Amino acid sequence: MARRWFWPLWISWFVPATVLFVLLSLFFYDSPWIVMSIIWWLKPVLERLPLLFVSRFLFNEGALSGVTWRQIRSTLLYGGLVSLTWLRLDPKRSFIQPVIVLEKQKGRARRVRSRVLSYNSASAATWLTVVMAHVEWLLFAAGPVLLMLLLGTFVELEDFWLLGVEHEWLAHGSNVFTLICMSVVAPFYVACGFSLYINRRIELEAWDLELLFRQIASQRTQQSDKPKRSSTAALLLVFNLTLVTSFALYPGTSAWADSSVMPATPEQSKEQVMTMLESPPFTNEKEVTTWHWKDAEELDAESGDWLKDWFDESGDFSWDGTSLFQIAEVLVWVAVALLLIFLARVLVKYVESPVGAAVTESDKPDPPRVLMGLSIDAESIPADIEKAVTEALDQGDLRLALSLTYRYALHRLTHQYGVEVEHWQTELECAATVRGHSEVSLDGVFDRLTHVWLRSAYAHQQPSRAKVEELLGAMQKVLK
Amino acid sequence: MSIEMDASQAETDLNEKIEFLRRTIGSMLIGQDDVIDQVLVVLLCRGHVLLEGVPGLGKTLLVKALAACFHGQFRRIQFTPDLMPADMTGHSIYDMKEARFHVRRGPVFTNLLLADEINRSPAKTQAALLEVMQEHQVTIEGEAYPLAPPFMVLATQNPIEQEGTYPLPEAELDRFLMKVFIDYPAFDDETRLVRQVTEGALSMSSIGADADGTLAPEDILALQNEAERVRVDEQVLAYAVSIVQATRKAASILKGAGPRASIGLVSAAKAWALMNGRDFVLPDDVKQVVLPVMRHRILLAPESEIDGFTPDRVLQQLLQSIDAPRV
Repeated sequence: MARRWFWPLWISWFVPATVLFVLLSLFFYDSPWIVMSIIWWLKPVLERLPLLFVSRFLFNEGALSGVTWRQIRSTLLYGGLVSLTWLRLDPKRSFIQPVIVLEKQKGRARRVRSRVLSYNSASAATWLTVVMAHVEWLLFAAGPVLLMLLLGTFVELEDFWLLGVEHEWLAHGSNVFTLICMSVVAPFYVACGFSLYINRRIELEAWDLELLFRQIASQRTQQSDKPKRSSTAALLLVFNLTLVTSFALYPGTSAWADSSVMPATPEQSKEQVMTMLESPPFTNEKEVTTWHWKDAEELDAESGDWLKDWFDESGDFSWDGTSLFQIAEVLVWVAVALLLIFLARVLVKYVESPVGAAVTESDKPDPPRVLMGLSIDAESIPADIEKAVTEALDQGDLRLALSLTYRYALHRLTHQYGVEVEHWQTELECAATVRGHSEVSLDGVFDRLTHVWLRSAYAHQQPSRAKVEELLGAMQKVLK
Repeated sequence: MSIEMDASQAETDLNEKIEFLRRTIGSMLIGQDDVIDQVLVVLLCRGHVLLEGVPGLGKTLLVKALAACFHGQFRRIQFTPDLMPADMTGHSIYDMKEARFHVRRGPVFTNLLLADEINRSPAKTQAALLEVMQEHQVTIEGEAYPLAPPFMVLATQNPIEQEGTYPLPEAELDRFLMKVFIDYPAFDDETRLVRQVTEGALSMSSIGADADGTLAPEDILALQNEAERVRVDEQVLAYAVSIVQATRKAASILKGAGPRASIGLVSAAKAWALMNGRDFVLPDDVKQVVLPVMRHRILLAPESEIDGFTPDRVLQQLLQSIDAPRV
């Protein structure tokens, strides 16, 4: 869509933006950076006319046929406050704009509608914004880089020359270039966002829209039989003519125009180039017959001592905008690097942890105080376990005696032998963990104790007094 | 992990019968010991089982072997899109000579019913099994016909092919006590299987020929009654219910399991305890059967599915958030 209707979309963005740009530049002539900041912030409003146009083109309507001035004003202003405030940094901006501009939704209705539409398209819309922002930035960076390549190394440019730190006119020039870059990207951004929106509408409303599109496609197929003007071809032709003319006019290229000097074949051309490269100033041969150290200056030049340069610049630090900007830039990059490292660490932990929560060594719990409902911390275990068990046995409370023995064993194993038992583990799982702990040699005593305890706890079958005494003695022997 | 428990003399006979079932089926279905145990648990609980696995892993063999173990009757229904409910349950036919209706009983009148590829039929046909599975009876022309016990449905479905299938409705899934995954056998087991089949020692036709020590249907009923008598401590019961209730509160689960899951969990734990020679249930018995009993009764939240979680993984995490029973 953006390619097909590029010029109307581009003009509808560029003309209002240029008018605004000129006015702002006059008003903020001394602070050119404010101009582009405002233009950038007003992008959602500037994208509204292209959006209106592309929606009308798609449904086979003329750009402005039947459109009143009032409608245009409404398109530009409706929901403008929302678009320029809390929705300004919404990464799905181009996808959500049609809901505000074309559907005229606001408030809760807009939120609900956006949520329904965003259900499985939000990711694509976000990526669209990310990609387009990068394209815009690349275009912005490509212009100066191209210029520097064309100029070569003969002209030394100051740092941040494009930002116009030194010259305001340069900053205004840079702003113009930025505006052009924005205007080139805007039609694609708007059209892509709109196509995502319309696809989602087709998913939701399906046949009505599809039938309408088929009807329009059929009408256009009939119209396409007529010869069409190819604007792209014309543009290419003009570009080629300009290029040829410029080469012809450039004095340095006059020799190339002379066919007698030009090489006849590619092989001859290659030989000529090789000859030129082997002769000065490309190659300077010098014969040296003794060993000697490389010059310090040469080493410096090779190593490119950027840190030294930086400190040298810091030495004559001045509190003007340039130095502050450099410090801020360094700080921002350090912060970004730290943030990326932090995010990477969180992501790695999230991926490794099955429940999605980060678990670190420091998060490891202390030995549990209660297992299977039995308190096993030091305070709850009698100092003289043998005496306590004997007292319980004398009172005929076999279950209490067995419970004390089992708790004593668990306490010693978890607190003194470092056996790691979790609160959710059952008795058999505890026994398995103990068996897997290589530092403890229990000769199956804990297994026997567990066996007797399970029968007591769940089958309500109490062991004999002798059995409890024998188990306690055996446990004390192996855990001494 | 298991610790040998003393089996009382009275239980020895029951243990022998269970061991016979295990051994006999295990000799035919090689390398699927866990599956055999789980199917036997379902049999002892009077439940039904949903077997999920790719074709060729011995699902039919398992059912035939089980039927052969206790002189049980075995029928198989191949579910297809055009299968009608009456094709399974039966219908009444008008007899011109006698001038009255005769009831023709369908294939569900059996002990073991193999519902092969159950998800190939639409919901209407699948729903015809609801009454059969829940109430063990069939209603034809308004009259209820009870099924002879023991009765068990073993349904199969293929996890790979989704084209032209009808996912089982939740009400139907809830009727299955367990959903059992049949996986490929291990290398050694598969080697033994191939050797036995190629040497002619194992074939489908040989199933049923080994009648030595075969149980009677009454023996199976006795085992089922014995499983019901296994004791469950209040704490273990509370532990089982708390696991099921936790599925209703977990953020990773959209729809938790219902009370039928609690009943199934305790029943299956009792059967598992019996199969291990115990007359009382341990918390470990509950844990052992949680996955097959509950994996088909929960519905994961979309976020969990997007993150690649499976019901088994979510349930395992859930188990680690619930304290072991307090005694």
